[in-house]
Amino acid sequence: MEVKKFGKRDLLFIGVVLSIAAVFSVFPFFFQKEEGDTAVIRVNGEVTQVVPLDEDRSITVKNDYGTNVIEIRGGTVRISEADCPDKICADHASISKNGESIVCLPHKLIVEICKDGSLAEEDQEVDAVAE
Amino acid sequence: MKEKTKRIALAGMLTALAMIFSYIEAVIPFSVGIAGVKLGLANLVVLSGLYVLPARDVFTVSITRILLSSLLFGNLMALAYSLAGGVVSFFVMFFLVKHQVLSPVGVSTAGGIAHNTAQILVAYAVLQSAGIFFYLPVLLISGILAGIVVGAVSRRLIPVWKNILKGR
Repeated sequence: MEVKKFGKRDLLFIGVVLSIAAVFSVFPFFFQKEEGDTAVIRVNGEVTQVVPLDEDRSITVKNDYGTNVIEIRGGTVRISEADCPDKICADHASISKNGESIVCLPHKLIVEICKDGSLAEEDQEVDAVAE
Repeated sequence: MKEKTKRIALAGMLTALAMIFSYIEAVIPFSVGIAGVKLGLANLVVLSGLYVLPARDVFTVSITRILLSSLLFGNLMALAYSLAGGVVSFFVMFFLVKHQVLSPVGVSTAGGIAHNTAQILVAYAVLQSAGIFFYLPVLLISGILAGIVVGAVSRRLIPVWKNILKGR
């Protein structure tokens, strides 16, 4: 198979990808910039805990996959400890804005920040399923 | 017949090389603390392989590498992510190489992006949260950077492998 030289088409392709990346990174700023007031903890896609951010505390989430310690301090949330192999969630910066999230893939855990009404619909959904 | 023996031997060597690359990345992650950002060294083998071996052989190398390295250095969850990324990026790169659309740098960039996008989709299916799409721009840009590095190295590697097949 011939090896093509780096050319215009490569540049064009990389340019297109960069612009898509730019659009996607600017996009969220238009919608979700306000500070959130609730942390929603999901395991395996299901909401397990909804915690207000106005009170400092640390929550230990233990499930079949492992343990994560979620720390809430001054309205920001981070994962302070985790026994997952990659520790990517524990390295993640604190989150506080509506829509931000920290994901721990090995433990199927997501901590998401929400602002009052924004989770209401999903909550009802969960209740409906629970019934 | 002799040609076939060489092909089989080279495919075996490529699998071993890809395994070593996976191992290196498992031990020393070239990441910046964001899930999914990595160099994708094993992609170097698949990309360069597409230029010197039949696509079927390269596909076998890629799948074997993913199965073995996920079982050795990862877990079943890692296998699902790797498999999705590996298969999608293989077919994207195969198409681009076959039709000579882009240079190795462009092809490996496209492969890296395809790999990351497939993994995001699997993550979305597993986690059921749209929040992970916030990772997309990061993964796209890291895909470009990793693609340039891997593609540049691949350009040097391909002639060497071609010579091995010719027996020089």
